[in-house]
Amino acid sequence: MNLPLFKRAALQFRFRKELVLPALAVTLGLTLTTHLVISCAGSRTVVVAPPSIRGAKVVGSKTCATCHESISKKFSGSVHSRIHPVAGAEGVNTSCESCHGGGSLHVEAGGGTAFHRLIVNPGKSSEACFKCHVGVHSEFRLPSHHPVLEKKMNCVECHDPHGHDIKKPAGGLGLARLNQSCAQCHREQTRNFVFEHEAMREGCTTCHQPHGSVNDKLLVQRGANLCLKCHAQVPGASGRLVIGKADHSLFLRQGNCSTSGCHTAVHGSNIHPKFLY
Amino acid sequence: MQSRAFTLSFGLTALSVALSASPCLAEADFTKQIRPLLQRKCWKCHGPEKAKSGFRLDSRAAALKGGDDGVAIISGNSADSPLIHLVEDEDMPPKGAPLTKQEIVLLRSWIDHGAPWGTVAKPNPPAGAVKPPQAEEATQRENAPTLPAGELVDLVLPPASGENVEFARDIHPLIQRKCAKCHGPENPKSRFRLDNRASALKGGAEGVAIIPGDSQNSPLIHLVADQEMPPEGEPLTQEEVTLLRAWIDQGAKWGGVSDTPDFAFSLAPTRQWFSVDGNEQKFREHSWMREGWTGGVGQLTLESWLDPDTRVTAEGSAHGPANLDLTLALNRQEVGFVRGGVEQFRRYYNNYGGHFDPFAISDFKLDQELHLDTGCFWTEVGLRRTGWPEITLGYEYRFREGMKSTLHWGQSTQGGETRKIYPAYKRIKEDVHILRANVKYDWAGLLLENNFMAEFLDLETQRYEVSPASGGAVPDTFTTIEDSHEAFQFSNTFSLQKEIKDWGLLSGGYYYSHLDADAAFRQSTMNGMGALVVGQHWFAQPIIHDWSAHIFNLSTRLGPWEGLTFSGGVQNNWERQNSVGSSTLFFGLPNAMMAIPPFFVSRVSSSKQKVTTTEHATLRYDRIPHTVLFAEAEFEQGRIDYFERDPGALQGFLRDTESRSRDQDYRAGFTLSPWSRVSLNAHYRYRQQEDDYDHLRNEAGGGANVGFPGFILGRDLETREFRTRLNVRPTPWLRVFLTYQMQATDYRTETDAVTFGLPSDTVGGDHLAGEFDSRIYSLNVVATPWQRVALNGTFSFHDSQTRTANNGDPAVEDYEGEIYSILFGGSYQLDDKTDISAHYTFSQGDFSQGNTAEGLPLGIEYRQHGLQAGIATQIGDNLRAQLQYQLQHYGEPSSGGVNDYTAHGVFLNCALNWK
Repeated sequence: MNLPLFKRAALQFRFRKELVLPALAVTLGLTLTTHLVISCAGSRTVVVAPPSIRGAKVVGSKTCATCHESISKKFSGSVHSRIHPVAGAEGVNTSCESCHGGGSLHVEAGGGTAFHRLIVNPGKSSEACFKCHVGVHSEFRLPSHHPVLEKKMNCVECHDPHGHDIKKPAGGLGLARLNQSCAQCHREQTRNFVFEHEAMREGCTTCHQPHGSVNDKLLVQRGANLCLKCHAQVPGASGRLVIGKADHSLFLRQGNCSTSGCHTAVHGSNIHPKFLY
Repeated sequence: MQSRAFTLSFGLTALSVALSASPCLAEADFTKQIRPLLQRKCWKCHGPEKAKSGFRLDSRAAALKGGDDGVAIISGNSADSPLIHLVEDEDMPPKGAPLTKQEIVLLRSWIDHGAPWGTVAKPNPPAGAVKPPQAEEATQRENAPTLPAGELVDLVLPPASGENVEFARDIHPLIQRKCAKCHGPENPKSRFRLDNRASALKGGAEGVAIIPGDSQNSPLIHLVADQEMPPEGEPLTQEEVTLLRAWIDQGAKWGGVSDTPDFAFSLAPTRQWFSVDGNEQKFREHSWMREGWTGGVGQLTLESWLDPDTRVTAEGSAHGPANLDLTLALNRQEVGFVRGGVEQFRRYYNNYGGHFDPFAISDFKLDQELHLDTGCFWTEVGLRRTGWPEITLGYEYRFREGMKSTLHWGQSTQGGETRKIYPAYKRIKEDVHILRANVKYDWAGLLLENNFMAEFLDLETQRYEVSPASGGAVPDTFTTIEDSHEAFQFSNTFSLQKEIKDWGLLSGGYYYSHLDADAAFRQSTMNGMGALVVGQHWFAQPIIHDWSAHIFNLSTRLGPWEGLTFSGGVQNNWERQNSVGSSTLFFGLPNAMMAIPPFFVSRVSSSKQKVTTTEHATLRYDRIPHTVLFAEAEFEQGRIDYFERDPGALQGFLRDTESRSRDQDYRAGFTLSPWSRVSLNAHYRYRQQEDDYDHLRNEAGGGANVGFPGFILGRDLETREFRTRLNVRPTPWLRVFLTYQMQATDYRTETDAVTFGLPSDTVGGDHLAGEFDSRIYSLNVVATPWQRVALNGTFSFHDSQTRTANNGDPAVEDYEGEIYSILFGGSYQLDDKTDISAHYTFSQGDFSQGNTAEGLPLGIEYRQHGLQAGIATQIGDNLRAQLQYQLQHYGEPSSGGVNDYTAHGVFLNCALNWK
C-alpha cells in the first residue's frame, strides 16, 4: 500500500512525540558515558551479575569452548553474546557464565554429574533467565500463562539461548519455520485446513501472548478488537460496523467474532471459507 | 621531544635490521623468549588444539617434522628454513600483527642454535643430583650448537622427591588444578581421564601415560616436564614435577580421596493439602493442581557408576494423580548411551462461561470437571565414539487426552436480549508417534548433520456448543462438531558447517518435508437429552491434504576485522498444499430422512503455493571500551497464490488470489558498562509488514462476491519498539535492575467499496484499522544486607491500549487497562542448618469495559494475592525437611465474583540423600 507522504510523516511524528523523553535520556546518557569510557579505556567487558555458585570463579568463555566447541562456534552471532558478567580478567570473553554462573568448579571437576552439576543449567530451571528477563517473569504470573513457574515447561523448550537451534525463534534464519515452536505441542491448531486463516501465516503471536496474559487462552486482546485490527472495513454511516461487506453490528452485540458462536473455527476450517465451523 | 623519539625509533629499527642480517647472532632463550612467542603467535593454529596444514609447533619433534607442506624448520639453518621466510614475508601469522623484526631475529637465532626445546641435556643424571639453574643454562648453551639437525633431545627430568607422597595432600589438588579441566569424566581430551585411578592407569588415545613405579618412562612426566601439558596456563613447577614423579614411583596410589562415588541416591517425598473456598475449578486452572490431599516425590535423583566408564542416572518427580517426569540414562564413555523417559502433566480448566450482569442468570456453569492430560514416552539410543559419526535413533509417543474449555460460548436470551455466555468445551484425543534418526559427523573440519523425522498423527476432537437456549440454566439444544485428522509427515534436514578461517564460519542447509492427511467433519444438532433434532447436520468425508515444503538456507559468520563480527544469511522457502473434500450441508432430521431444502452436496477444494525469500544481517562491534554495539536487519519478500472453491455452499464461493508481501525489520542498540557495577543496554526496533492482495477471481453464487474474504486489498503493519535496561550494583550486596519497554503498532487495511444502497455502504480504500500502544516499567532489587539475609523484590507496571476502527458502534469498546505486579521474597538463615523464608506476590489488572447496554463486556478486572512462608532444616547428614504454608486469594469483579476463591495450603517435603 502506498500512503501519501504527509500521512506517513504524521504517523511518524505521533510516535516520535512519545519517544522524545526516552530518546533524550538515552542520548544524554550515551554521550556522558562515552566521554567517560574513552577517558578511562580498559576492560571491554559488559557486565551483568552472573548466577551465584558458592566458591566458583569466572573462567571465561574460551575455557568453556575447550569442551563445548559446537556451541561456542556460533555463539558470537547470538543475542546473548552481547552480555558478560563481572570479568575475572581484563578482556576476557565471559558470556557463557552470565547465565551458567562461574565455571571454575565445573572446570576443575572436569564436568558435572547429576549430584554435583557445579554449574547453573537454565534448561532445568528458568530462574537464571528471569534475572534479566524481569518483565517476562511477571507475565508468567498472570492469570493465563504457560506453566513455566509450575516447572512443567522451561524457557529452552521454545527458545534457543545459544542461537543455533534451527527450529526455535532465537535461531533466526537457520531453517526456522514459522509456528514450529508452538506446533510441537499445539498440532491441533497448526494442522492443515482446506480454508486457512491467513493470520496463521503471520504467526501464532499475532493473536496470542506466549508467556502470559490477563485474557483466557493467552489472547492479546478480548472482544472484537482482536479481529478488527485487521478486518475492520472502511467505515460507512456512523454506528454501523461493516466487516467483509456485511453489517456485523447486531452480531457484535452478542459477543465477539469467535465467542459469539459464529467464526468458531478461528485457526482454519475444512468445510467453510468463513470459518463458521 | 618528537625529534628524539624519532631518532631513537630509527636507531632501534636500524639495529634490528642489522642484527637480522648478521650471520652471528646471540642465542635466544627458549623458555623465556621463544616459547612465549610461539604460544602467542603460532599455537592458535599450530598448537595442541589445532594443527593447520598438519603442522604443530608445541613440541620439538612435531616442529622439526614439519607438516603437509614439508619441513618448516631446518635445525641450525635459519636461512633455509621456510618458517623464517613465511614470517618475514608476513604470510604468517595470517591474522593479527606480524612478527616484529626483533622477534624474527630471536627466531632465527633459536633455529641457528639447533632449535633446542626446554632444558637440553645429555642423559639423565641420577635422581637427587639436581644441577643449579646456572649450571643447566650453561649446559644448554654448551650443547645446543652441537646438536645434529632433526635429532630429538631428551629432557633433564627433575628428580623424584624423596619424601613419602600423600595423594590426597600432594597430588589430588595438583590434578584438580592443572589437569581436570581437560581430563575429567565429561568429554576427556584424548580419551584420557585423571578422575580415578583405573582410568588414569588405563591411559588414553595416545596410549599409557602412567607406569606405576617407573616415572622415568611414564609419558605423563615427560609431557609436563616438557611443558607440553597443560597446553594453557602456568606449567608445572619443578617441585610439582618431582612430587608427581615420586607419586608414580611409589605406585601411583589413589588414597585418601574417593573416586567418583559409585552410588548416590536422593529422594524427596512430598505431601500437600489445599483447602479452597470459592471456585475450585478456577483455583485448579490457575495453580495447575487440585485441592485436597496430594502427594508424591518432589525429586528423585540416582547416579551409579557401574565402572569408571559406565554411568547410570535417573532423575524425576511425581506429584498428584497425573504429574510425572522421569528420565533414565545409561552412558558409557567411547560407546554411547541409551536414554528414555516419561512425562505427563494435567491442565485444569474453569467450567464457567461468560458473565452478563443484567441477566437473571448471569453466569452459566458446566457440570463437568474439565482437564486435559498431556504427556510423552520417549527413548533414544546413541553412538558416541571419537572419530566416528554421532548417531542417534529415537522413538517418541506423545498424547493429549481429556476435555478443555473453549471460548465458543452459546447463547442465552433473557428479556429479549441475547448474549453468548453459555460455556463450551471440547474433547480431545491425540496420539502422535515420532521416529527420529540423526547423524552428525566432523569430516576434516566440515561438520555434516542430517536429521530425519517421521511422524504419525491421529487426532480426534469433539466440540460441544449450545444452540438457541431459552435462558434457563439447562441448554435446549446442543451442536456437536466432530473433527478427525490423520496425518503422516516426514521431514529431513541436511546441514553442513565449515570453519573456513578462525574468523569465518559458513553453513548451509536443505529441508524437505511432505505430509499426507485424511480428515473428516461431522456436525450434528441434538436436544438436551442427546437425541438428534431438526437442524444443521453437515458432514464432510474424506478431506484430503497434500503438503510439501523445500527450504534452502545459507548463513555465515565473519570476523576478520578487529572486534567486528558479521553474521548473515539468506533462506528460501517454498511450500505447496492441495486440499480437496466432499461436503454435505443438510438441514432437517437425518434419521427421518427429512430434508428441508436447500440441500447441498459440494466439493470444497483449495490450493496454495507460497514462495518466500528472507535475508538477514547482523553486525556486532565490541572494540569500544566497555561497549558492545549491534545492528540487525531482516527482509522478507513473499508471494502466495491461492485458490479456494466451495461451489455448493449457500452463496457458492470461488476465489483466486495472488498475494505479495514485503517485510522489513531493523534493530540497533548497544550494551554499555563503563564500570563493573553498572551496565546499560538499549535498542530501537522498526518493523514494517506490507501485504497486497490481487483477487483475480472473487465470485459467489455465479456473480461477484458480496462478502468475506475477498474484501481486503492490502494490509500494512508498522511497529516501533524501544527497550532499555539499567543494571546497577552500588554495593556488593545490592543490585538494582530497571527496565523500560514501549511498543506501538499501527494496523492499516485497504478494502473494497460496499455499494448495496444501504446505510452501511462505504467508499472503500485505505484506513487505520487499529492501533496498539504498550508501555512496561519494571524494577527489580536483590539485596543481601547481612550475611544471613537475602531479599528479592520486583515491581512492574504495564499499561496498554488497543483501539480499532469501530465506527462509533457502541458494541465495540476500546481494550485498554493496566497491570500491576509485585513479587517480594526474603530468606533468613537461623543457623547453619535452618533457614526461614517468605514470599509475597500481588497482581492486579483492570481491563474492564462498560459496553453492557449495547454489547457484551469481555474485559477482565482481577486482583490476586499469594503468600508463602516456610522453614527448612537439615536433620543429620542425609535428611533435609521443609514445611511451608501457602495462601492464595483471587477476586474477579468483572465475572460477578463467580471466579473468586481463597485457598490455604500446607506443603511438606523431606529430601533424603545416600552416597
